[in-house]
Amino acid sequence: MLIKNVGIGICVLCLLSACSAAPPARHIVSHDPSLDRQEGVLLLVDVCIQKDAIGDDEDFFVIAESKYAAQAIIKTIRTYVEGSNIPIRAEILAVCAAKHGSAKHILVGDNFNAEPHSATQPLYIENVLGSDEQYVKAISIISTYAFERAAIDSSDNKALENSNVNKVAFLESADIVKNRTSTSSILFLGALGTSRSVTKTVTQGIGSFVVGLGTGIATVGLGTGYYVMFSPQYSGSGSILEGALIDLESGELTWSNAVRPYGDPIEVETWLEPYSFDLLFHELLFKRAENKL
Amino acid sequence: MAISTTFIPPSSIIKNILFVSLVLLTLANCAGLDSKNMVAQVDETAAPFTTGQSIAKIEIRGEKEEVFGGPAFAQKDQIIDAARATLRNSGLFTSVDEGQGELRLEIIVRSQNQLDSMMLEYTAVTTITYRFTDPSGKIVWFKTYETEFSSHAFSGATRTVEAREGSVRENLASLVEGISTSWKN
Repeated sequence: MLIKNVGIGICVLCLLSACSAAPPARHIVSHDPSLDRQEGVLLLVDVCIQKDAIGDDEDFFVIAESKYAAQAIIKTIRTYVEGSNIPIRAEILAVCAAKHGSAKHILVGDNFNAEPHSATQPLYIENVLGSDEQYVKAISIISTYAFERAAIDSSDNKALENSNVNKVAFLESADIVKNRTSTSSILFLGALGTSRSVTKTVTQGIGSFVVGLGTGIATVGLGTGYYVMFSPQYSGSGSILEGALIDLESGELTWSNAVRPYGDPIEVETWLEPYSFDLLFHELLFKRAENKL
Repeated sequence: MAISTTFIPPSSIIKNILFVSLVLLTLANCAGLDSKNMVAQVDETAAPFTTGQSIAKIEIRGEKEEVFGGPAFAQKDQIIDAARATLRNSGLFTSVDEGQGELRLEIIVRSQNQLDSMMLEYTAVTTITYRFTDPSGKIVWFKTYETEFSSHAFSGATRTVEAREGSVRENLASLVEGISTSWKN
């Protein structure tokens, strides 16, 4: 009986292996035309890493580790984008620029082992003078707007009911950034991570910031063709990477996507692996031409 | 001292032999990628075209590390070997990677992915950017190709190897075709 079953199994597998494979396919791929404009692109990277303490009330965001991660991300993504001949005219590195819910103050530590204290956002923005409050606020609003929308299904009208920023404020901010940097689009990359024990899920503790994430993240534009690195049941240390393209000419967020990379977000090595960024931006940078070659 | 003996039924022995045979059969097919299998065939019937220029140097960056038990990925040295052989066979350039000439070719491996597959099918997707520059650094020709190749080999290891080799081969064939049709002398 056993021999018979094994024999049948092998025969079925052999028959299946003899089926004709899908024909080879060749495509010319290219990035979104808006990234080719002479004015170039502003690369905005906003990283916010949270330390999961013993109790939820003691969780706090860490500045130093978030900054290291942002520096690693900007280096990796710069190489990735320049490989497509996209002109990067300016870069902004930010820590927790995007708003986390409606709280005016959040619990912050200078580093992972520091004593937490209360602070307002953004926690850090590189290469921006502290006195330029209008510009700092504009970056924060753009980051919040992009982050809230990148992970949700655009057809889900209820997903943005708790939004921290409206379209008018976003358009005003986009105009400020456009005038300051003279760029025509923003390539946004936001990372929200938590370094925690395996007993809690990632979405716990992040609060209302990731609006509609539970339903939205499964529908974002990864397509079915690539590895899906995240799942709603994911637990342990982890992060969410969100990407968006903001057209400063029209003031529209024209593309967005989200992925969940592997690894502890406080480990810089997590951000040096280009695979997560390729997964995030592949659709934007390698759009297939209508016709096959 | 008592000696204990265990009776093993014949069906268990057959089951074990079959299992070990299957494992051995699978492992026997665990060959790695071979750059020779990534070399694109030149279309002999196509109208002859030459750029009249030479590629002094080929450089490559961006590979994906393999993990034990995971799918096969083409490594930098394998892709550059295959690209060199393909371009030499194509006759598009006077010489390729011999240190002479005015062109530099940069190959950027953007990604090596796979498509969702059914049953015994594995489809590899490879995205590669090709950038030709002149001695001043000016871009002479630039294209990115994404190619797919599927395999139905019985062994899982062979399947991923055949598919990856095929997708790189298709990519290099796209490069030759692209240069033949869009290079401006």
